[in-house]
Amino acid sequence: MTPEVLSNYPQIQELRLAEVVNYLQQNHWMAIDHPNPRLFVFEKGVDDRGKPIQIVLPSRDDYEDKLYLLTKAVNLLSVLQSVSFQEIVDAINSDVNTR
Amino acid sequence: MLTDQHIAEALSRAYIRAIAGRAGLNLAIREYDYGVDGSFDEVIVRQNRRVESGFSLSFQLKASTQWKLDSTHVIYDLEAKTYNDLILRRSIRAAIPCILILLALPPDSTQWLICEESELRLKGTCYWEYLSGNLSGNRQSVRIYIPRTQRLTPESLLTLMENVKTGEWS
Repeated sequence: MTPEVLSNYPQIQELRLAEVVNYLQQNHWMAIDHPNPRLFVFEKGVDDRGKPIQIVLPSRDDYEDKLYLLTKAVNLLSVLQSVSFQEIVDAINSDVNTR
Repeated sequence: MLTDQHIAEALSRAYIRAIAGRAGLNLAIREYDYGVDGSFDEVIVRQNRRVESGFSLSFQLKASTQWKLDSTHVIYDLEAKTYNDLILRRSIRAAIPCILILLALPPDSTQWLICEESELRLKGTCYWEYLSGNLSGNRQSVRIYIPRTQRLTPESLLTLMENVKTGEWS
C-alpha cells in the first residue's frame, strides 16, 4: 500500500520534516520521548484495542528512509481524518504558508 | 526458465511473505533496491479500518546455497558492499533499523520446494542478523556468523518489531 502511494504522490518529496512536525503539533499530536534518537514519535488517540496511535518520523531530513516514513505518516493521518492523502499534504503545506 | 539465483530469490520472497502474513504484519518489497529490499510494517485497526502504524523494520534479503553450519552458528560470506551498506545504514544513514535476512537453501535445487496434496514445503531456513561494528576493507566478501537461534519465525519477527517500537534497537 505505501509504495503505491509513494509513486502516486511525488509532492511528498517536497515536504520537510519541520513542516510535518509543526502540522502535528498544531493538530494536538503529543511528542513522546523515544529511546531511539533517530525517531520522532507522536501520539494521539487510541486504536480499537485501546493502544495509543503513534506517528513515527525520522529525526533528520537527510535519512535515507525519510520519504518512506513521511509517506506512512501522511497515509495514517488521511485514514484517521477520513480525508485524502493529497488533502493532508495540502494541509501541511498551507500550514507552512500561513505561518 | 529463470536462473537458479532468481528462483532462490523468488522463494526467499515467498518465505518472508508467509512469515510476515502469519505474524500479522504488512510486507512491502521494493521494486528497486536502494539499500533495502523491503520493510515489515505493523498494522493497526481504527474504527474497523486497517492502516499501517508508524513503526517499520527494514530488511536486506539474501538467498544462498553457499553456507555452513557449526554447532551454534550459520556461517555465510556476505558481499563486502552489502556488509558495509548495512553497517553504514545502522550507524549514520537511516532512521529505521535494517536487518539482514539469509535464506539458507539446500544445495540441491530440486529439493528447494516440495509440493504435495496436503502441504507446500519450502526447504531451508531464514536467519536474521542486525549487523554492527566497523566497516570492512575486504573487496569481495565478509564472513559473518549468525547464531542459529536467530531464525526468522512469526514469533521472532514480532519480537524484532517490538525491539523497534521500544527503542531497544537504534
